Amino acid sequence: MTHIDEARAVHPPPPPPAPPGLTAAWKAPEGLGRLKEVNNTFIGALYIGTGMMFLVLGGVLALMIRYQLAFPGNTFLTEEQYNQVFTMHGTTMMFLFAVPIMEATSVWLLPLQLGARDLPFPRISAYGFWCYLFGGSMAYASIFWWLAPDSGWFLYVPLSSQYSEGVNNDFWLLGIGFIEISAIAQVVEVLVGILKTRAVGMSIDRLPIYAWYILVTALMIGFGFPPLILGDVLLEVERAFDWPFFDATRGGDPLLWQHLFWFFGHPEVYIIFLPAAGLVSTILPTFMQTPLVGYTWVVLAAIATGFLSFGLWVHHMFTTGIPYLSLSFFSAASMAVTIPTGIQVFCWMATIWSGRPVWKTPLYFVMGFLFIFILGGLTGVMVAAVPFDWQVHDTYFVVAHLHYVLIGGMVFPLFAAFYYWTPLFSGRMLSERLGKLAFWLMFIGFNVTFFPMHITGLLGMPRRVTSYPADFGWDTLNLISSLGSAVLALGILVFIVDFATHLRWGKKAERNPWNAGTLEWATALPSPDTGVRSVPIVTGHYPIWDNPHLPEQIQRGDFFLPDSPQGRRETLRTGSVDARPEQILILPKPSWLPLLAGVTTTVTFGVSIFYMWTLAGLAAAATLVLILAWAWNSEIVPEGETEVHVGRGVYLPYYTRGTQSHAWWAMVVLVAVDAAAYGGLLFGYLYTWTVSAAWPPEGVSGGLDAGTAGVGAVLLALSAGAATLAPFADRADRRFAMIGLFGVATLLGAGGIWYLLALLLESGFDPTVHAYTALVWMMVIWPAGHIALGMIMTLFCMSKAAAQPKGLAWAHAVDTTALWWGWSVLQTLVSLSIVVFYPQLV
Amino acid sequence: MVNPIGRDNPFFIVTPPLLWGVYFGVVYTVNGIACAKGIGGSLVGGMPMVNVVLIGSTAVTLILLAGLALMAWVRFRPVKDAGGHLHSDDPGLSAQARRRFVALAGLLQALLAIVATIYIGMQVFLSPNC
Repeated sequence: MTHIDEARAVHPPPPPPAPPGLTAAWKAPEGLGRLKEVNNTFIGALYIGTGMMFLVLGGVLALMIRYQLAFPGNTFLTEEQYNQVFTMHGTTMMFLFAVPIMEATSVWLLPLQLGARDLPFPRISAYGFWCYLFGGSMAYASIFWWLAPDSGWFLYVPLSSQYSEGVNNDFWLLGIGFIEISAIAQVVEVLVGILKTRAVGMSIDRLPIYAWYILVTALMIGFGFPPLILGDVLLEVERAFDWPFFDATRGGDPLLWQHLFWFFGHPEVYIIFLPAAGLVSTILPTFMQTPLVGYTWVVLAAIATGFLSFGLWVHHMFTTGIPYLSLSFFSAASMAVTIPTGIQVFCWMATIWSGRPVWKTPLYFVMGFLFIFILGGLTGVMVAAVPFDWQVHDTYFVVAHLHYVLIGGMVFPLFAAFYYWTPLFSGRMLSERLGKLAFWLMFIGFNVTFFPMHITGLLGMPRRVTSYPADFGWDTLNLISSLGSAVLALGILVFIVDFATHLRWGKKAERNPWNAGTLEWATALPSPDTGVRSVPIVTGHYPIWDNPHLPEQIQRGDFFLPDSPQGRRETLRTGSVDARPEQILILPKPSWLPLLAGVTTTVTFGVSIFYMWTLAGLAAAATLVLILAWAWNSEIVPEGETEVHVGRGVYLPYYTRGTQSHAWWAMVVLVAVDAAAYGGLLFGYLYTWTVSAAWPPEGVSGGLDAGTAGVGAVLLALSAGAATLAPFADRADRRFAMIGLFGVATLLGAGGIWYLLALLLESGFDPTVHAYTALVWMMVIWPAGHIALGMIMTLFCMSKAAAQPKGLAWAHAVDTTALWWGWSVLQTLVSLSIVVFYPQLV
Repeated sequence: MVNPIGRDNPFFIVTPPLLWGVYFGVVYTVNGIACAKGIGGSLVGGMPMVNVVLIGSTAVTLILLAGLALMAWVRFRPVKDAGGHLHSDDPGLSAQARRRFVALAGLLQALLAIVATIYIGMQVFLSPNC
């Protein structure tokens, strides 16, 4: 009998109830108060539900597009309306459905799979979710008034700047820009969660394969989104304040926008695909009843794909006149990325080969994924070849390719995941019969919709056209595509009906109904608010297959943190590499603050769309106050409990600081993300230089005073020194020395900012005159804004240390503030060096 | 101070692709600037200066990646049979399995990065610069 057969043979008795302290700690508030809940099981489920809502909303727009194109010369939509519909279709699917629902799935699933009670920053997850819900709804709602963005989902300039006067594209820049910030909040959450909150023994080589994929994806979001956010800021500033970053008539370059967009846009495809591949790599072994073949190779594939995908962005710009050799670099990188993708596919095929398939609905969707995604990958190799791309660029061939990759690569795995993990959510099974019906409708509908588009594209039909004449030979193919889209939509409808009805009539699920090996199936069904009953010890990739009695042992509370007598929400913090238990993390309880901060953030961005800056400033100030209130109540330190017994003779502290702490890692991640945005700004400056005949360009009057810049730089360097010493003083229990050092840093920082402003104001540079002057201003005020934020942080640390609130500490705040301050000053010094000296060097 | 490419540090796994990323950024930037500013046109051994820089960057990257691959191989060899210890309760044995994982993943990354670098580097001989 293999270990898997043995697992199948185990029929565990009903689990004993969890201790009252533990249950009380994780009990969700009742009624309207439930909206205060920050637990991942609640927030994750809402998050996934919202993602599905946007799938339906984006899908309705897709059906409108298909109806419009079903017949030649159709007048269902006007040109203006059609532009908005296809722009919002792409925008909704990419920004409001695909990325968020994958993040949502990880927020919901990861803690269960890692053996944690929750991720380390539940309020950040909750805040990110509320921002997403409100911001996404705001951006989408614009179409109800026909005010939606209308320049394509990539918002190319100058169409979106000089030739777009209404607020339409502001909805994109501010609404979607805002969602990107929420995506980054989740990056911090899941990255630190995977590195720091795992089951004991879940060392880096025993990490669930899904966690590897999410780790890579989170890093990709962290480096890919910030340049786009920077691009959004530049474009919005151009639209609102006339700073001409992208205006060719004033020295800017529209291609800069394309670079910033596609530096995000291509990794975005993999940001969507990799988590889905993680779902497949988790689901497939269960339905083959055998471990994934080539774990290390799959990890290799995930990491390599993540890196290589950043070398592909120009392959969306093959027709923009970039130097031939540069195109060849990107073409070669596009070919190279097929190697890890191929390795991955072969590992899945080897897993299928080595197992015996259990033909349930999730496996149907996985097989559908393999079929469709491989076809999409093959057309991807075709368009990676520059000469072929020149022929099909901006035709329906590309539309077919991207839908094969995205729907095949992401939607089918997502539906496999719905059918697979729903028992964990509801305790009930979805219908096998309806599931298979949904699959076949979706599979047939998808291929009927999108396969003909390859031919329509080769026949020359361009993308984004409102209509076409009858005699071009495109009408039959378009009609077939439109009929297929209706079948695809019907498939999704069947799933929705299945899901809605199963909540009442679905068959009750037995524990671990698919006989899976991963840890999430060790919990009772539906998964309780407490998450895992006791944090287990694991010794492999498939803990339940390794030890079929593990679910009962976990449920009996045989492992760590089986109880919470004080009624606190707790989970273990473990070592990043060897997953040794290191600390008990106290997690926050339900709070209105994330929701309220989400509301005020939405107001900030929402009123900015209409350029109501005073109101935006007030809402931003309210957000700041709420976040400071939230931070004030962080860092709980139980009095009189330095080390406590967590089970099995292990004693752990409640509080640690420095490079081991989760807060430190979160700030490291945030600084890395912020550095990517700053990198985008540097790229913008250097790129604009390359397209300018002279630097400073002719016609620009004024100049930067090196003396003023020097004084500012010295003040800021000194402030960084003081801020860096503050944590050392705090660690030595010299509270007043820490307060003093941060005080000095704040004053020097204020002095530095004063000189930076003087530098700009005395330069005589008008930022609306030329892209060069606009970039100089941005290069200085961007880091100066960081220092201003740092000043709020130092004042916060000083106030908290002075007040010494009972049961709360401030060490993490001090450590992370010092890190932020150092990074902000470094950026400023780099900026000053470049804006002052670079023109002299070139 | 933690050694980022130490045998127990998983950061070692991402070192080769990171190096490839730096290389890619360098060659793209060098060629882009050379074309935009018309520099690098002087001939060295019958080849434009910019191509000499690009080939040199490729060579340096390949040497560094080969070094990482060798380092990974040297680390992998003594623990190549430790895969069976993945499930071990013994911290010493499971540490061996972990080292094997880091070394093998690092080795595979280095080999893939070498292939990707050759792919990119050979374009200099196949395509005009601007």
